[in-house]
Amino acid sequence: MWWKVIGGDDDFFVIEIDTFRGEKVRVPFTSAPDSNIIMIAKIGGKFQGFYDPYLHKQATELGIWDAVLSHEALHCNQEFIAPYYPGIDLIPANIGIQEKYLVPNMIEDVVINHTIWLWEQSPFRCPKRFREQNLVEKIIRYYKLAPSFPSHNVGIDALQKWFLQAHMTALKGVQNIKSKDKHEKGIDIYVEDEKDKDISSAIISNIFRLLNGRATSLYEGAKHIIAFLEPKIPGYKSPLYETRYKGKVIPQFVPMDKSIISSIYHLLDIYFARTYNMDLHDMRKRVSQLIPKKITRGKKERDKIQQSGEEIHIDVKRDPGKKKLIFDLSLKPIKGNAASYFSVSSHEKGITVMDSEIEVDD
Amino acid sequence: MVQKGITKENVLNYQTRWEILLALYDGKERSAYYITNRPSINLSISPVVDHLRILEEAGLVEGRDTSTSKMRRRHYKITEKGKNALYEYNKGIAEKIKVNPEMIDHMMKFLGSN
Repeated sequence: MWWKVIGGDDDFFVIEIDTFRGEKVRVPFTSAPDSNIIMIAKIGGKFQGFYDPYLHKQATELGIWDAVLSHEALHCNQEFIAPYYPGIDLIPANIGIQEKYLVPNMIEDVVINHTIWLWEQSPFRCPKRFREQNLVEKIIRYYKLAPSFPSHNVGIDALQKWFLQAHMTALKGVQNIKSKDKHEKGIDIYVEDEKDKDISSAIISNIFRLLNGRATSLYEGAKHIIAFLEPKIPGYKSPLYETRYKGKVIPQFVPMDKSIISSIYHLLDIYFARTYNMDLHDMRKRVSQLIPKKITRGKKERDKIQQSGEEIHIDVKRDPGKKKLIFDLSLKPIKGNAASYFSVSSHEKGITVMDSEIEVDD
Repeated sequence: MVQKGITKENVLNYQTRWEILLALYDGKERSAYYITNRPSINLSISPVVDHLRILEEAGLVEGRDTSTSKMRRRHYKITEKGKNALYEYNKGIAEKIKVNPEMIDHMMKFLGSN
């Protein structure tokens, strides 16, 4: 286990976390009634955790409190540089309806976090100065600390579902604004009905096809971790890594490339268009109408937009008293030497942060 | 340099003292040397000893002389008052978040990948 509780009571406890860097970090968790949050933040240089006892109770009843804490513990790595795990960070927000999304097995959390971690290290997302050195070795070391529960090979599948959900949440947030303007009934944020499930299955299988052959699994008994390989050389085994890791297939940290991400977004856009019963072009156009600046691939224009530092914030508030979603969708340029997208980030107040990238065509 | 004008209210505002209490939270007796070696405490032993002395004066830790004939040494252990102080300090921040939810947005700046 990479974390343990070292003392406290119902209102306050301290967890000790083994980080990727092999350091031990202690984080106090304080109960914050009615705050609707479970989170670790860095305040004044101090890692501090907060949790709503109501969510704690629910998570405990669902048998996932350890999984939630495991997830929060992972936030303490890398100084929060890669903290937004699409999907994972959505979990606590709708914890009451999460049984079908949440895998109450910590190993899955590790698999997905690590997979997304690798993805977050992508040069398309993460400026070089923030990238972790010797990431693979650190993950392997960390992986050995993971709890050994019987597991099954759902990592990639779960990742795709969450990836889908994350993107969908962002777009539905935008769509919701549109509906609100027209005084229409608000759109449910999550896909739960049979119709959507059917469509998402088809999309997921396509995404799987895109990813297939570009991911590998490490097995050790019942444990496994899935990581992406160099997309251009599917399944390539580095002699260097083979020697170092005794012939195991080791992911050579190069995450998904941009074209794959674009393809996934394209598929997702098709999915949304079908969900909203809209023409694909119309849907993209309507989304882009909400975004005054056109995002193009041109470097000059991109730089110009980034330099302007323009930010667009959209707020959607929905029944905060009933622990419903409060959406704060913001669109802002990523300031980084490698980032070429805008970031659409959305968080449900308090608990979750979902950060996704969206490319908008004309 | 150790902060001046220390009061009961602000004694934990100094990050090192807060980290020291966390390092001692498991209730075990530790030396200043052990605390200095914590990755979160990036100080030499001298200021750490100063902070421990302040915490001891405030009753948040208790020290015990464990010197030998060859070496002067002191071990420290967190007190119940120290545990409560840590709780109260963090509880204060939790209250602030409740009153001012925008704080979360502010905190998220530390989480950002941009």
